[in-house]
Amino acid sequence: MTDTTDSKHTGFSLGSSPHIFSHTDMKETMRGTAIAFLPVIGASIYFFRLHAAVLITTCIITCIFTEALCQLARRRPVTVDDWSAVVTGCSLALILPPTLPLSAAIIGSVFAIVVGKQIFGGLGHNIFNPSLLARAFLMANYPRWLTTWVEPLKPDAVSSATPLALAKFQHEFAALKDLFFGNVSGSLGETSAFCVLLGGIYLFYKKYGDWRIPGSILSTVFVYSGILWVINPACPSPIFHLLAGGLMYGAVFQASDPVTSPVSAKGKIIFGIGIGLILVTIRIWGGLTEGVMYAILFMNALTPLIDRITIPRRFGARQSPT
Amino acid sequence: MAIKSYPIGIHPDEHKSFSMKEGLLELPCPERVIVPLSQHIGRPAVPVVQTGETVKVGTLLASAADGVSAAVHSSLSGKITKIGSFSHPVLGAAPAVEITADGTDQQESLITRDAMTLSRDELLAIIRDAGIVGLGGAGFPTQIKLQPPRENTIDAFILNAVECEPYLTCDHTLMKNHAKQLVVATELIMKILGAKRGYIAVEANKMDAVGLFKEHLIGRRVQRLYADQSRLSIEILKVQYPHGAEKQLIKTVFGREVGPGKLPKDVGCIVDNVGTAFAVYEAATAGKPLYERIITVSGSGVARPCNVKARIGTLFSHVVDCCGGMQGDVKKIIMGGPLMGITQPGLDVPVIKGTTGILLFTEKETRFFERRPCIRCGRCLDVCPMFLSPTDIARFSEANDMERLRSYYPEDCIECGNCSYICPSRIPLVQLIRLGKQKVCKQADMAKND
Repeated sequence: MTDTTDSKHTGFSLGSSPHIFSHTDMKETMRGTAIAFLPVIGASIYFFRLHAAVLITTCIITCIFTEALCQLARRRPVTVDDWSAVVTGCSLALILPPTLPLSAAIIGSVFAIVVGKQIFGGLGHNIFNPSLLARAFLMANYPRWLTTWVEPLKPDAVSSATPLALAKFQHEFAALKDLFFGNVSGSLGETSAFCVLLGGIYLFYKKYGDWRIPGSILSTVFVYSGILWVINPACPSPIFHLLAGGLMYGAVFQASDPVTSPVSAKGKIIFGIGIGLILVTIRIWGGLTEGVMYAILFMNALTPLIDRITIPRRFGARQSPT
Repeated sequence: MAIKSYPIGIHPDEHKSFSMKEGLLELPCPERVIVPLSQHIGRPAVPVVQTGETVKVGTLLASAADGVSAAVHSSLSGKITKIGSFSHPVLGAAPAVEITADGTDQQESLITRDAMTLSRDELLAIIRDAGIVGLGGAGFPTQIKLQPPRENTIDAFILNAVECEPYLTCDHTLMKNHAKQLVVATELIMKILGAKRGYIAVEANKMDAVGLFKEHLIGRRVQRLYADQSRLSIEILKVQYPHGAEKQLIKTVFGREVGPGKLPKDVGCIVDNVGTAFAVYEAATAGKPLYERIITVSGSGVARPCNVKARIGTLFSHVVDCCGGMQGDVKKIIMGGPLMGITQPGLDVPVIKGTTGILLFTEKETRFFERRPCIRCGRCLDVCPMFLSPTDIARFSEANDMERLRSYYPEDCIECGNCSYICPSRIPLVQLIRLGKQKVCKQADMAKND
């Protein structure tokens, strides 16, 4: 080319479009998810005091360290600053019983990161939700510890049964108000449906999570358990199902984990319906009192399949088949 | 009036007010222009002038080649100093005609005629001779677009006044200044096409233009220029990108889907940009060839963002100098909008017919992002106006998994950039899809040759 009027301005950056980007990046999404956990963390510390605080801190710290060590061992860049290990730590701690020995919590956290995430290639590549996988692992190894519950606000008292167990085996139903605000025994995070909802509203309002997954899970549970309740009023009511156990927590924080759920809108809804159906089936007919964990893990396994059958329709293909 | 909207899209910060503060600036005559022979899709124009010849504003420099091509005219009165290779904003380098001004600014004589009395064939010949191509950026020769094969009945014409790219306001400026002429141009194009329905599609952030269009439509109805009052209507679209993309616009306004590998004419619809329509008006009423256009100069790197009427071939440096020059540390020069524009290595490239804007981005608009792993959040699917799965296409494109890549139809991608814009892990999705498209096309070509 001939001359340049502005020869001092050279080295402009070249690159293909687009040249502008949305404000929300992955790190912010993960940090936002961690923030959404705060109401639940607050409630669990209120109800279970020191037990909760120590357990949550242990899980988070163990997760961060394990992730960093794994990445160093794999000679990959250490990316613990992306908050995803913090999210895994919170997510795991809050589905553990308050009195769980710390050694089990540490083993669970290491398992969540190593087997749940890093073995598959790190963030974005895992098939199962790491925290649920770790809980399933702990459940298999320490069944007694994982099913020992204490009453809230009296953390040193003797063990008590969860509302779902009471409903299933003794046909006693906890007061809905207690279920909603959390004055019942259970895992750290599953006690207060209200605080989970609070975190969920933040998560979905800021678009850090996808509301379609919890939306379809909760509506499926409501409809399915509602039908069963109408047929046989001895079954727990749909409202009870929604508020009791880990459903609300699992739907908002674990099923909506983007990595282990389908990518398309249609896939997300199918995924949610599947979880809802399996969950209520386990709760009513299964040997276990609670089915959130297995329902989500099972649908996690089906996610690649759902992704394959829900490829969005091709624009204009209906009018002009090729 | 009901606001229409395509089901999928994004809404980035508009940044349109910067360049709308001032009216339309007429650029002082540049000292020289570089008029590329390839400013359109198809074959380069064939020069009809020689070095040393004197030309006036509007003199034919090169006539359309056979097939898909368009004529190119002089935008300056002066002497042809060189015909050779020069830098080109899209092609990198391409043959062009360099003209050095003689300072007289003489024009080829214009005429005045009533365009409405011209026949379809006369109008098409005028459009061809004026070298009119799509001014929205694609640059497809207009007279070819307006002559679809006989088997395609054209039911509707849509005037694309959407201008959905952020920053750009050149079409808005044109509408504010020439709404009446655009209404006439729409009627002329409908006459050429024999289209029964006409739509002027405007985004809701240009309600002042809508008001002007309405005024002129009512004016022409009062003059009983319409046989049928419902022939031409204004459609207001929600502010959303990419509403101005042809396939999305036709679906939103006309309700028909242009299938894979098909063109708008296949569903009986033709879309033209307002800039193109205005060029048709000027050619039809005054015999003026396409040698100037309105462009937006914006971004935080330009001292006085505004809209200018620039002659084709004017160097970007002259345009920027006339807008107060650069300010701050300019990191990126873009021709076009921020979502589909092309970066330039410098300001020594000429304005071409498809130049909608010149954007100068400084540090704050060119943040560097680290790529993170895909977390399969599915946001790219939520924003893809072609209902594709960008994350999968990108993955298979990168992995060279041709079989699966093909089953996700990368060739349907319109490269709007929504997926790359939204991706929280900052994966260059549309860039990888482009690569995938090329791989699929190359494979198809090889299969054909075997």
